[in-house]
Amino acid sequence: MSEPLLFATGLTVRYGPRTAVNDVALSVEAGEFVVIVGPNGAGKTSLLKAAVGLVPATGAIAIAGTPLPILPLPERARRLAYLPQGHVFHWPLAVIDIVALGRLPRGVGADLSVADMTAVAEAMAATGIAQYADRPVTTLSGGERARVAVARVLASETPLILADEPTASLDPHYQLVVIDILKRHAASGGAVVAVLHDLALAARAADRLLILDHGAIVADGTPRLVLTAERLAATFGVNAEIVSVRGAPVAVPWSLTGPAVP
Amino acid sequence: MTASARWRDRWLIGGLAVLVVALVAASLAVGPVALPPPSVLAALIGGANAVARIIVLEIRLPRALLAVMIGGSLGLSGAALQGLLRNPLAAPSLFGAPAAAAFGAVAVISLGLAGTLSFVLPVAAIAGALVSVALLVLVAGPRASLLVLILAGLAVSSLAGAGTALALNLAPNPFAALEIAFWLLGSLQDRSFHHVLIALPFMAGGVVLLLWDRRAFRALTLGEEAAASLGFDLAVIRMRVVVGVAAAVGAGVAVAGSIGFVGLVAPHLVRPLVGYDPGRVMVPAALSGAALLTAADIAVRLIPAQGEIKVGVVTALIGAPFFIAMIMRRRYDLAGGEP
Repeated sequence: MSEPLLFATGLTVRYGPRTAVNDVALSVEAGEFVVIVGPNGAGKTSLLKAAVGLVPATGAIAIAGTPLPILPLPERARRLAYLPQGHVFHWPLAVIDIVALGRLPRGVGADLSVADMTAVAEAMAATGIAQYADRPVTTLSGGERARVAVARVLASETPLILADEPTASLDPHYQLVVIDILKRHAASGGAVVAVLHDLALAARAADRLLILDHGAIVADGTPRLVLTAERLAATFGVNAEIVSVRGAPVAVPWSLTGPAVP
Repeated sequence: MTASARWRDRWLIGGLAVLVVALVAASLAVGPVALPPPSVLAALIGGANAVARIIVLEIRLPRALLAVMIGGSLGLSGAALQGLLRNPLAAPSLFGAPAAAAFGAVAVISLGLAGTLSFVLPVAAIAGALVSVALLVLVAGPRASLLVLILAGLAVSSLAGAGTALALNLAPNPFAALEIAFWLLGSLQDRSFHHVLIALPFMAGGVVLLLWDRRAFRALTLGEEAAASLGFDLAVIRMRVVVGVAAAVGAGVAVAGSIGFVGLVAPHLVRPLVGYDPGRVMVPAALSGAALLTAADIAVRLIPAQGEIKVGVVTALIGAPFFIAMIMRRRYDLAGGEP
């Protein structure tokens, strides 16, 4: 049995007096597609950032068996790729150059190798953005930019992908496209941890669903096990109908359990 | 980078280098004493008469070299800061190093320790730039965020400006005050090879530090978090850029006074030619800065005026309206774009 691609125990993130992530234990094996859901401010983004090493955290984190603090930064970047929220591009680089940034952890020179070019071309083909290769990224629509951001992460060819709301601002078609890309990555021996807001998409996509609330994992299992009306009421403060669509549970939030929080 | 982009960059850099060399040649030929190109060439290789040799080798050559070095380091510093800050409006003066270097030099003049052409002056200016970095780190902390760093830079700049004002205020006599005021304007007039040699090591060190992080600047296109996830230690990179700018720009201020706006304008002119790539823009920006300052320094010798107009005044007169135009064009992004 190989080491888990992501392992955390006692993981705690504090911002001053506020605890964003509280004593989380998590192990993600190769082949898993793990989706994290939770209310706003539950600590989902902080959990991902701590796993990448972007925010100071206490507890233990290991990436493919190596503790994060002793993992050199370039090697860490070859083991995990992180897709932040928002898909920001500060300069109007050509799409192909943006996707090629995913190869930075592997290259020493400025020129792309054949392997780099292949990875970039495959990532662009998989996300359906090959026809935009030479367009400045800032001229693309929100959905197109989101796919460019996903392509950049895919081009890194890291075993582990941590994605923060990869489907935000995508239409239903490309939500499924992006989810399928990430699922294929997991199926081919990688692992993906994705934060999603859409409970229906999360339930359809996830092999394993985590619910994070007040910085702690309050449920961890298959969507069928985790998505219960009681759990959603306790976590999100919503009354939800759980219906089965083609054998998969779908949660439809219907009303608030109590008065709206101002 | 694709192979075609690599070739385009080579052509661009080659073309800019030819332009800089042509401007340097022009700079050697222009001055109060009219020298025809053959005598300039002869003087350069040790021929011609003694007067022509002195004019070309000891008066005009150091001046032309300093224009290239200072313009180049300003262009490179601007490109590096714009890459780090992901903002085309960033300028080398942002972290306070030029202001602190100016204060260091002015303090020396004011205390009567040195005249404007003495070697104590550049040493004090470079010391001022390095002290400003120390102060910046002290105020902002070693792993400061960009915003804190910018605010701390503003504070350091203000402090240095106050020091300069005090030095002017306490100037022992009106001549010293005038000397300081003129020196602050920025000029390449009457500089010698000693100035070139004093500035060179600091500029070379600064250039090495600034060119170091070209890959990181490209990664920063994706924002700080994505860049960090790609394996770049941003706290270290920020410090490297701050120290590199202080050394490169501080050395320039040390020998020529304050020359503004070249660092802002130079990268802007070449950025579209490298596909807006913040890594590929660095070397062309340096060459474009060298060309700009050399051209400006030729212009001050051609503009008819009582005495020579200072080159720092010319770059500011051209640069400030350019800056205003850039802000107006980017007003929408600046107000509602990414933070």
